[in-house]
Amino acid sequence: MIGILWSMIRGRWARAIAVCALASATIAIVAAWPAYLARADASMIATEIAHASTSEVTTSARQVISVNVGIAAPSGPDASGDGGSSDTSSPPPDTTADTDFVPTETTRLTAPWFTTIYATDIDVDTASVAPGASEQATIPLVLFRQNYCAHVVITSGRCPVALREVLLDDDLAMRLHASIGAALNLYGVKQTSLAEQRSKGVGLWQALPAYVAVTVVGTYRVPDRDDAYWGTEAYFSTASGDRGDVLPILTQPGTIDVLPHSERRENVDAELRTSAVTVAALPAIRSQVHPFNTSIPAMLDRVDADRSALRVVVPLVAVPLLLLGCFVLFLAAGQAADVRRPELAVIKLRGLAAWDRWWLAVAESVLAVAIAVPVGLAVGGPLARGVAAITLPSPAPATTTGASAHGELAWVAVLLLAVLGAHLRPLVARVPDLLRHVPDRARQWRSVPLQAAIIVLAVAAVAQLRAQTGPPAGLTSVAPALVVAAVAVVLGRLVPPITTRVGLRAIGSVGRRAGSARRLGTGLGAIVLARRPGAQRLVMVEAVAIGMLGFAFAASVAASQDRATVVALDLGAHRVLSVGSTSPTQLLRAVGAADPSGRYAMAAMAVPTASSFNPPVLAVDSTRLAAVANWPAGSDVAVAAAALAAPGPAPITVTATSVEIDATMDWSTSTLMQVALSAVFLPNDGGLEVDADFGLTSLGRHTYEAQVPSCAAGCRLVGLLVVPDTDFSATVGATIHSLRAAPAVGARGVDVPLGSSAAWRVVASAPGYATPVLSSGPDGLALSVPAADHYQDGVIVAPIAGPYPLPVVATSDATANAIAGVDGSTVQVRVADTTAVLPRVARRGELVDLNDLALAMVRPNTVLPAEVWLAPNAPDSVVDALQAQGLRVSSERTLADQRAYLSRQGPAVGIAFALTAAIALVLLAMACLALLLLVDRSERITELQALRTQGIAASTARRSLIVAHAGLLCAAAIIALLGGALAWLLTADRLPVFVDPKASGLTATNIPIGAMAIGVGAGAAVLAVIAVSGALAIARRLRASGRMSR
Amino acid sequence: MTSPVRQTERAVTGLAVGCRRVVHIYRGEGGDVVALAGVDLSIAPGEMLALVGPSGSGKSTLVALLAGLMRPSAGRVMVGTYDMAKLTDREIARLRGTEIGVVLQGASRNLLQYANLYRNIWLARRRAARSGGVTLDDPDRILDLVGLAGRGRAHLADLAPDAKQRAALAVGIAAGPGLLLVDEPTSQLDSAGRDEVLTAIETVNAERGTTIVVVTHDQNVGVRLGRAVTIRDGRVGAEGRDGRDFAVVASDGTVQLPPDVLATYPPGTMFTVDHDSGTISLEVGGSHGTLSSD
Repeated sequence: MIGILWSMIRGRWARAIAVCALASATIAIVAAWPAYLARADASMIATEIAHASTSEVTTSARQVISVNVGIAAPSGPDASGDGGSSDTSSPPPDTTADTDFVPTETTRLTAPWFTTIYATDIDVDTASVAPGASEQATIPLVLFRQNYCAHVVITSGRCPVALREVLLDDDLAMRLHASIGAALNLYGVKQTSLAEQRSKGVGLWQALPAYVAVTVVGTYRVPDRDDAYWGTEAYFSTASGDRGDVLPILTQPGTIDVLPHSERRENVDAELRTSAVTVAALPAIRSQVHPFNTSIPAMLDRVDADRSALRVVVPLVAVPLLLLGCFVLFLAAGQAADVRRPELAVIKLRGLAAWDRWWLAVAESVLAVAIAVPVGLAVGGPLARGVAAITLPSPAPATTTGASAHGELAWVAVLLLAVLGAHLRPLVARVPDLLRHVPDRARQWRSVPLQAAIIVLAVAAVAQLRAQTGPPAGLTSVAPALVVAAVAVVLGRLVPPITTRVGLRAIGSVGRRAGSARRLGTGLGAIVLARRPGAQRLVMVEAVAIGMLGFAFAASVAASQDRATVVALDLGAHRVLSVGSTSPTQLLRAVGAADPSGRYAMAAMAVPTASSFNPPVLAVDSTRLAAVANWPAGSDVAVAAAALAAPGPAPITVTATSVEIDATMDWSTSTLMQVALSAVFLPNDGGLEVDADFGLTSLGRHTYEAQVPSCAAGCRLVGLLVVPDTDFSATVGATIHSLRAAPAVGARGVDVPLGSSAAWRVVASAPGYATPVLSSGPDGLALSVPAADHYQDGVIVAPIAGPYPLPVVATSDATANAIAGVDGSTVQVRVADTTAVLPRVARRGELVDLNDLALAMVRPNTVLPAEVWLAPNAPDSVVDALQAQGLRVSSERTLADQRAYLSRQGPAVGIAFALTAAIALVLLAMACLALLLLVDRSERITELQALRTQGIAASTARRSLIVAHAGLLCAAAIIALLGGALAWLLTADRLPVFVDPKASGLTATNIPIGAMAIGVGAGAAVLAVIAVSGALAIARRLRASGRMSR
Repeated sequence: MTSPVRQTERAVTGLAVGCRRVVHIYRGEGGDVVALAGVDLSIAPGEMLALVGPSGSGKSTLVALLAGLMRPSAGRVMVGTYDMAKLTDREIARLRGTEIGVVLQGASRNLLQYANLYRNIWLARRRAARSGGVTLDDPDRILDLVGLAGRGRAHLADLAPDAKQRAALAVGIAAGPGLLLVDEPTSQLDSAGRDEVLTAIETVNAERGTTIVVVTHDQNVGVRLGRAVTIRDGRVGAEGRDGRDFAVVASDGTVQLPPDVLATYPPGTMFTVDHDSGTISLEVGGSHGTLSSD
């Protein structure tokens, strides 16, 4: 038996190799699939981590300990200025510290995925400094953070190693005039309450008498303040209020122990170790972090979304690819079985036992598949790597094999079933039937159940896909391929009758019309096409292959356009610079100075909202909106900019060094009650807001005066602040008769026009209590504050400057009528224009003018996260220009970066894979076509030789060849285009390859027919290579046989 | 009579063949075709017989029935002691692998093209070799019987046309069958080739006693084999034995006249029948023809 089998394989080695190659390719795909997914997972994890913000890759545990280190010591500063160390006796027992905090949290966060960093910091005061140093209050942190020396650049000196050695930031050292070796006194400091601030007239921070002298051993700068090493503790926050720039003083933990402090903060920060984040580790990582103090879960959610999207898209073409591989193998084995029918007849004629008959019939194909299994499994790995290199922008080594033995075995079983199934009919046929050469017409009817099943499955898949709300899964994930296949089944059945009709008409017109030879050739070719056994099957295979290529290419183009649109809207401009936190006024001034023309730079700020239920608000300089912002198609940016640029009252400005207010105060309770009155100004030169404190008022009408030297060059009146005593429940009345500004002490003041109450608004917050009422009369503005004890932050009466309520451009889904939380106050808004989508805030949000917002803020120096949006024509020097205005560019995002990021996420990776797999599908169809042409070749040659003998011209025979081969391809291309279009219509909007189809204008009926036609055409062109080659090969054989001549 | 096919020890002896009123109808889309319309035929064990007749007369159908490739629509086909209509497919397959050898028309249809003659013979007798108690000749002996000694390693493509036919014969007798059915062994051969093939057939019959039925168009083959049965219109017409033609009375009493007689007396001609002293006389109005019964 072995000899017979060996002779069989050796005699038909080409066919055996073809079957083996087909089976190997299919098994390689099966093996490559999970391996590719594993690589893609690793790549997407690496992408998300690389793109993540610091809070998305770090988590921390923190405790604040109230201690009294050195606070009780009576020693204060030495009059000689030499300082004096406080007594470093042991602090009193502290009830708030958890001594197990550090080891507990370190243990919890030292799973393999984290790198932990311990840090501790306290606040100190350096106000008592060497003569000549800056008067500006400096309340830096004294910080120890593990391994800090490796993350700073030592600009002079060295890192501290001994007790009481410190490392200063370059700017702080300059400000303090501290050089290497200098002594520096560090005082304890505490925060005061508002009551203390009011009653004692002190600021937020109060230095304590105790101090410790430390030695400056070096200076440093931080190369990257946003490095994940520094965690999320905001060690480098910019100036705000009384604190000034907070620049840490770095030291060893022992030095912190001896410094006077009343509060100490301990942190255990954990940073994700990128290499340790694997798919298997994701659930465990998620369980280790608390979502309230880290955004790692958000990053993990994106990873999960990427993986889910990829696993939905990959089967889209991978399953049809595998099924087509099995089908082509079935065809190849079936063709082999058909050719061997007479041989099988001989085997049956000799009365061999059933096992011998089966084995002789199927051994050739089964052995080919058996050899293909190890070959395919071996090729699967390199194939996965190759596909990963093509489709993954940043391929990463897989952390798991991803292999599924069950899956591979299942597909091998399917292949064997396909091979055995192909031989089933000949094996059960009778000897006389095997000896006959007449095609079995009943075979056509046997394929009807399979074709009907395809149609039914397609209908079911589409119905289920459109009914379900979740992503496609199971049958629905191959819905597009099923639709294309169903169209191919239905329209493919029309090919034989249509081509028969065409052929008969063409032949019938021979001799009656001009061009008879051409018509004869056409007619013969059409008849051959109609009657070729398996032509319908071949049309279906080709239509599915190039139809899926068209669909995948169209999806790729549409998804790319979608990503580009979404990125443009999501980012908002060509380049976006993050410049830390600053006030709106500062930002507008800096951007205006950096780009006076207004052609390429625009200030933008994300306005914090009081609740996540409120729509997000983006504040931009609307005068530059049209020049800089990316605007959604379908709406006019000029209309939006015009809607935002509503006119309004000019702000009240004064140029003065003192202000005087004539007010009548009234409260209805005890005379012990105290009400403070002040006016808040904002200097025009961009300085900090100035509080003209009129002090505590008295009952009745009085005139109060305050000095405002900072307004000598001009200030804007932000508002009048009335702060009642919260120890008494009473109604406080304040009537402002006049406000006068004097340019100098003793000079005659100028009345500030107050106008009516309509030109003012009251800003106060006491939910559940009666709101203050402002009215105007001949005496001036009258403010009544009921239940004044509930207004501990005071009541601000602010002049309305600019349009109010603020005009906003809102999306259709945004319904808020106020912006709350920008500076603790509520700003009323009105919708001046609506649009479907806005830059940055997408489909739900509001756009407001930043200038108008700044005018409406009652705490104008509130810092907000600031950005500068740049147009494509922005010069490279714009960053330097912004930095020269005091803005520090911490990061930059570009359209290209964002597009690259999206292209590395699951949907883009999936569609890239789908396109690659669709190309493989066409190559497989090419193999199928080549196989069938090879099988048919001798029969075609015999037919043509017979026709030539009967007198058919060589050109006619050639034409019939071309029509037979090209006609099949044309039919397949037409069916493919129709099938692909229908599949798009029914399924495209449910595929997770689009980020925001509505934003991109993608709808179910918006079929990218051009891209689809290109894909179909490319597939048909590839198949045409085989078809033409086959025709030429036949022509050559005929010519060689002497029956065809040129 | 039905007897199960048993694996019994036997020597190569011919099988008797009997057909009684065998009818076979092909049912097709265009209507039914009566291929055999009541065939009565008896073949003695070890006898050689040529089935002669024009195309479409039913010769191949009869051979297919004898080979068990089809079952008769009516009538009985006996091969040895086996009623072919009552055997199962497995039993018929076993019979073909041991007792009945078939040589199809066209030598290449009987052999595996990619295997040499040794392997073809091995395959053809594999069933018989696995049947207990069967003694088989050596492949070289078989090849020698058909005049292909020393050609065991040759492939079909290496042989001349007549050698191919003899190779097909070798495969047909490889299992040592008692009945050998050969379809058109001499078609497309020249006279020399035909002689060689017929000599091989005669040798097989002489040395093994195999009953041999040969389907042929060639009347001379019938003469050579000694007995020729003419099949016409699905019935046994006449027989030629030892150079003489005989009309055969069918089981239903009908007689088919020889073709030359039929040309003179077409269907519808009326005879009176007299038989006297072993002579049967058929008298046509005005004409006198005599058939002898000896």
